[in-house]
Amino acid sequence: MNNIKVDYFRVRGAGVSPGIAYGEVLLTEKVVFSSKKESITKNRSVKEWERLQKASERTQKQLEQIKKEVGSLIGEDHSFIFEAHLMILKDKSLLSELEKTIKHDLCSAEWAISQIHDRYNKIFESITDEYLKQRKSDVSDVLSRLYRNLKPQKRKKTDDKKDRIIVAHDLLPSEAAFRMNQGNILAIALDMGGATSHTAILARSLNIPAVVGLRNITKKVKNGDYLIVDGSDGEVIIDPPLAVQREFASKRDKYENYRKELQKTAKLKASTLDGVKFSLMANIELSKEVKPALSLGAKGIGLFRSEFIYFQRTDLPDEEDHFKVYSKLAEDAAPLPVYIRTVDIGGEKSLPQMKIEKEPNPALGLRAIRVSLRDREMFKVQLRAILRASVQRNIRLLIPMITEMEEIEEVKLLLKEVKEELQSKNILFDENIPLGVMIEVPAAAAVSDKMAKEVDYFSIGTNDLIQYYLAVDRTNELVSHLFKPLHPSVLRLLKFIIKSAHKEGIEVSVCGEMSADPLSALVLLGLGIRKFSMNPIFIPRIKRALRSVECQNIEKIVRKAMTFKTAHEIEEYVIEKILFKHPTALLMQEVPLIM
Amino acid sequence: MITKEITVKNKLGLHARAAVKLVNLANRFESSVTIEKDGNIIDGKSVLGTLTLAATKGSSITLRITGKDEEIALESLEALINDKFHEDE
Repeated sequence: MNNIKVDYFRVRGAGVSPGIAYGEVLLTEKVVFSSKKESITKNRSVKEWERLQKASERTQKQLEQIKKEVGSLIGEDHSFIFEAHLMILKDKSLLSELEKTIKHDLCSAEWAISQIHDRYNKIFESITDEYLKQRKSDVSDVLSRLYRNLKPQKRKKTDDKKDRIIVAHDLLPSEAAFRMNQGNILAIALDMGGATSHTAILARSLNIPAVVGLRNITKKVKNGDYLIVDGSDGEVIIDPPLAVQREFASKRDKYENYRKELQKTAKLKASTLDGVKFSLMANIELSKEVKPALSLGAKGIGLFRSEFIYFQRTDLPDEEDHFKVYSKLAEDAAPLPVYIRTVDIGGEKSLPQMKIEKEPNPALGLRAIRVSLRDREMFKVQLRAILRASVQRNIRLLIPMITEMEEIEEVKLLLKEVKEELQSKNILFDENIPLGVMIEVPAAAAVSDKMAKEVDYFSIGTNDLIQYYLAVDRTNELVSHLFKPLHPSVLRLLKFIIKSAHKEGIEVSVCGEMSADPLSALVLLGLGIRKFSMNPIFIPRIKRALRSVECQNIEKIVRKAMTFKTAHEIEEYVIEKILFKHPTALLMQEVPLIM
Repeated sequence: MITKEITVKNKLGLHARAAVKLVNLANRFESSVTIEKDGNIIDGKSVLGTLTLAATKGSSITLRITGKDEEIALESLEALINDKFHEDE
C-alpha cells in the first residue's frame, strides 16, 4: 500500500481572532437524548418527577451563575439570553408537559425530556422565518442542560486540564466564557459564527485564535484528531501532514515575532531623536479594550466613545449603567488619563430610544452636544455618572461638536448644577475634572482663540473637521478623492487651533485618523501636536515613525510646506524632505492582522 | 373579556428578547392573557408558547385578556408591541 497520506482537509471559515495553534480536538459534546422507552411503575413515576424537579433546580442555579459571570465578563447585554433560558426553564407549560408525560406515560424523566424536545423541535422546524427558527436552539439548550442535570455529574478533571482545541457547532457565550476562563484552550473552531460575536470578542481579548463559520467542522473531526487553527487567515487544517505542520509552525513564529516586536515597541520611549516627548493614546468603544490598548503602548485613552453604551441596548441606560462603565475605564487605565466624550448620537447614528427623527441632512442636524443640550436630564445622568467615576482623578470630560461659545457656557452651568447636587449628597468626585471640547466644526476652529480661554483642553477631531471644512463626504465615492488632510487650508486651520491652545497654555491633541497615518502624524508633529489618539493597533507604527525623526527638522519642513498652494505639492515636498533626512520614518510597518 | 387584534411591527418579530419582554409584562397582571395566531392559541404568560407562535413582522396576533385589570393589561401590552418592543427597527 502506498503510505503517503494526502487525505487531509483544509476548511475555510472566517478568522475572528488572529494567531495560529496546533493541537488535539475536543469536541464539545452534544447531549444524546434517550431513544429507548422503558415502562415504569406508578410509584417510580412519582420519583422520576421528583428527580426531574431536582434537575430543574440544579439547572436554574447553573443558569443564574452563568448569567452573572457572563454579565460581568462581557456585559449584561450578552447575559440577557440566559434570562430567556431561565424563563423557558421555569415555563409552566413546559413543566406541566413534562409532568404529564412522566405520570401518564409512566416513563423515565430522560424519556420525557426527549419527547418534549422532539415536540418543540418539530414546532420550530415548521417555522419558516429563519431567525425565529433559530430559537429552537434556545429551547434545545435548556432541555439539554436539564437532561444532563438528571444525573449530577462531575467533570472529568484530568481531561479538562489538557490543552485542546475546542470544536463545536456553536459556542454559547456561557460555554465560551467558562472554557476560555479556565485557560486551557489553544484555539476555537466553530461550524456557526459571525453573529455570535461575543465568542469572538472574548477570544480576541484572551489571545485565543478562533475561526468560525466552518459549516460542518464538527462532522469532519472527532476527539483526538489533530488540527491547525489559523485565526489570522480563517483556515482550519485537519490532520495536517508534517510538511504542512512545519509551514504553519513558521507562520506561527512569524506571528509571535510580530507580536513581540509590537510589545518591544510598546516599551520604547516615546520621544523623537532630538528628545521631544510625545504621547500616544487610544480611541476605544468598550471598557475591555483598555488593557489590550495599554499593552500596545497607549499612554491613556484619548477618546472613549460613550455612545456605545447606548448602542448595546434597546432601552436608555441609567446612571448606574453609565457609572459602571466609567469606573471600570478609570480603574483599568489608572493612573493614565481617560478622555470620556459625552454621547455623539444623532444624525446617522440615530437611536430609537432617543426619539430623534430622521433628518434630511444628518451631518448638519441634531447630534452630539445638540442632543445633550436638548435632553438635559439625560445629559445630566451622564455627567453625574462621569463625575462619580472621577474619584481617581484620571477622567477628563470631553464635549463633542461644539460650534459656539454659548454651548460651552451651557455645559458649564449644567456641570456646576450636577456638582452641587453631588456635593449636597456628600458624594465624592474630582472637583477639578478637566473640561475639554472637540474642535471638529470649522466655526469652533475659527474662534478657538476665544474658546481656549474657556476650556482646559482641545481635542481636534480631524475627520469631521476636514469633512465640514472641505465640504466633502469621504464615504461618498464620487467626491472622496477631494478629502485631503494635507490641503493647505486644513493645515492653516490646524495651525491656528494649535497656536490658540498654546497661547492660553492649554493642552491640544488630535484624535482623528490623521493621527494614525504616519505622514499626517509627522505633519501634525511639525505643527506642534504632541498628543495623538488613534485606533490602538496603529500606535506601534506611529510610535516608530515619530521616534525616527528630529522634531526640529520636521517643524522646519512643515513650516516651508505651508507656503505651498496645493495638497499635492505639500505632500510631495514633505515626503521628499522627510525621506532625505530620515529614510525609515515613512516605512509603513505592516499591520498584518486585524486585532 | 376583551379582545384586540394587533400587528407585530418590529423587524425580528417575537424573538427571544421580545418574547421575554412580553411575557414579563403579561405576568405583571392578574388577568389571564392568551395570544392567538393562525388558529394557534397560547398562554401569553409562557415564554415557550410565545416563541412557538412564530409571529414574524407583519403577522397579526389576537390578544384575549380576562380579569379585573384587563383594560390596563391590554393597554400596556399593546403599547409594548406597537413600540416594537423598544427595538431599533
